[in-house]
Amino acid sequence: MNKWILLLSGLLMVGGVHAADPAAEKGLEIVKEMDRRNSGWKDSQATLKMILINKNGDKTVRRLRVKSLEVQNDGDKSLTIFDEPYDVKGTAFLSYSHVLKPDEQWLYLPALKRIKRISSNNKSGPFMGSEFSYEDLASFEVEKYDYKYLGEDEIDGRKMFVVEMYPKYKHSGYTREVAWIDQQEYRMEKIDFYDRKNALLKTLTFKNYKKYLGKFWRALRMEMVNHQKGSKTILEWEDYKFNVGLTDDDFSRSVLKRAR
Amino acid sequence: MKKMWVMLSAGVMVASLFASSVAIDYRGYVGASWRQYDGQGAQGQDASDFSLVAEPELAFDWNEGSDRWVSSFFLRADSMDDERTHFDVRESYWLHIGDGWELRVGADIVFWGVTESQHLVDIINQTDGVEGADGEDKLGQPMVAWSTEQDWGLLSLYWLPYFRERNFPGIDGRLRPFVPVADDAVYESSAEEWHQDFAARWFKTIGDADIAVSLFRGTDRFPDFVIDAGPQIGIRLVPYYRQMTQLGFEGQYMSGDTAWKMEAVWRDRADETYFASVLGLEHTLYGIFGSDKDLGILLEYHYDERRDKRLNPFDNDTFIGARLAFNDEDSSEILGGFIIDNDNQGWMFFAETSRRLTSHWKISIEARLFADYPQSDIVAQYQQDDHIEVELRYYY
Repeated sequence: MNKWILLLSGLLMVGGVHAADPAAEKGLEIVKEMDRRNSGWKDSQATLKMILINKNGDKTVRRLRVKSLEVQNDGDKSLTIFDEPYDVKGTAFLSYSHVLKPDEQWLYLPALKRIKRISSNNKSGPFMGSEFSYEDLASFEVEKYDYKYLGEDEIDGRKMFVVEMYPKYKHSGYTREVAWIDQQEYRMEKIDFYDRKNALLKTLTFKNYKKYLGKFWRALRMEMVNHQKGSKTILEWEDYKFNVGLTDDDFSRSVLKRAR
Repeated sequence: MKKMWVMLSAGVMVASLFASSVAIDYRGYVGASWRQYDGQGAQGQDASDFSLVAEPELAFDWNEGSDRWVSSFFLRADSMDDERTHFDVRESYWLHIGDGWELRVGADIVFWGVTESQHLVDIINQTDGVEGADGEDKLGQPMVAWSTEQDWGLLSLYWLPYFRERNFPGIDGRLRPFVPVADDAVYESSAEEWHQDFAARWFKTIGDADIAVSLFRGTDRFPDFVIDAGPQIGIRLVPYYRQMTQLGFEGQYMSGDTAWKMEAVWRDRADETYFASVLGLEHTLYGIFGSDKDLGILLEYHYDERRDKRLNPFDNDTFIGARLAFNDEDSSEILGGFIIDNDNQGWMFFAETSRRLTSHWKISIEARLFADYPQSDIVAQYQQDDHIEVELRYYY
């Protein structure tokens, strides 16, 4: 019964937004175009250095490798292998993300030779003690949010669309996100995250954009600043490779167990 | 046997060096641990135990990753117990990865199971009986293992050509039976440790559920004990390894923040046929009190049809535990709980906490208490072995 009411109200909301709200319509169109330009990359792999900086300026480094597979009409698959800190070296994280139903996630713990299925409800929790939550690192899918176009702005002399995004996921750590999207290239430049009390929590800025395969933009540096804690996390992506021939078989339980 | 694996692994390593484009990968740790018991042991054993430990691992990939050699070794030098000073080849295998299948030849460790407080289904490897009191450390098992992952699931087949005897603490060691365990084991099978064991497991994810069914036919990893007494030898326990067929089931169902877990075994031996099971759940409260900390509540119930606490102390017991993950940059974590015997007054308590000091160094502290077990319960032998252990490890 509850489900029906939710579904019904959901339909009404979506219907209402589409029919009556031009700002919602425009916001959705911008994000759809961004998504269209970023589809067809098939598969990629990269190494990631995370630099955690607390409010006292102390630095901690994490190193990981990430393999990703684009899945049409659903969330992507990814396999993350930890290299540093050294006590978790060889730990691997397999995720099948989905647009509307909960993601499927497994963690392989090499010291125990054990694969553990984990709940995907903790999307708002910190990833490896960083300022990035699982939610922030998940693959971007248009259907995960409702949108509202707020207007135009400029960053470094470049024209931006400003779009407000409302997560549909009920366990999201945010009430809303405000995104600055480059008008020329349709790529994210900056996101402000507002917590569950609607206070500004974090700001993510995308830097050092590089184009791959002639059309896919990837930010090689991302900075997440936590305004409430005074700490930040920097992501440095290296050795990006596309079309390395990854398939579903590279995101299986067997692969998770032998990931190195 | 050990020598053979070492030579074999050395041979493949040398051969690999000559092959083109070999990717070498190493990791491991060295550590020092100090265990303090609450007074002397039941037979006057020491109260303090200091040990050094190392677990190096080396791996080679060749043929663009479709072939791999992995070797990992375990070493402990212990101040108290000569039996606890030991070396083991945890892994030394060649892995070949085919199209949707893989083959492993050599020694490896295989874990089966979903529950936390007891591992009933886990049968491939012998327990390293001188390591932790929780029995989670395993000895490397020689095997030929083939597995394939298809739409219908992940199927693994094992041929286990050689049996490893369980190791036990020596006369000076703690956490041991009142009477020392003899080195010379007795077997039901005339092939003794060369009895050829076989196992198979089928695993599948169906929506929010992960399930597995397994079958094992071979030497029971858990021995019976025969009392052997004589004027020269005194009293000692001789391990007796029986033949066993085990049918196992593992299931886990994710329902939001709760994971429902079940393990069940049906075991058939010449002397008895019985059923045992663990049922439980793990419920996680994310971001408690508006912080980044997650609190997990663990609840498990143990059942063993034999209802004989000399054979399995967990025959009608309840485990209640909690796991607090700080989700901080040091990955600080606390795990603790009680296992309570529902029939007698016995209970045991454990708590483990760890945190990273730097990206190489990690410290962990563990405490174990055993209380109020009657003499008819096998756990009573640990009653005077309450202890706290501090371990510092350098990972690389």
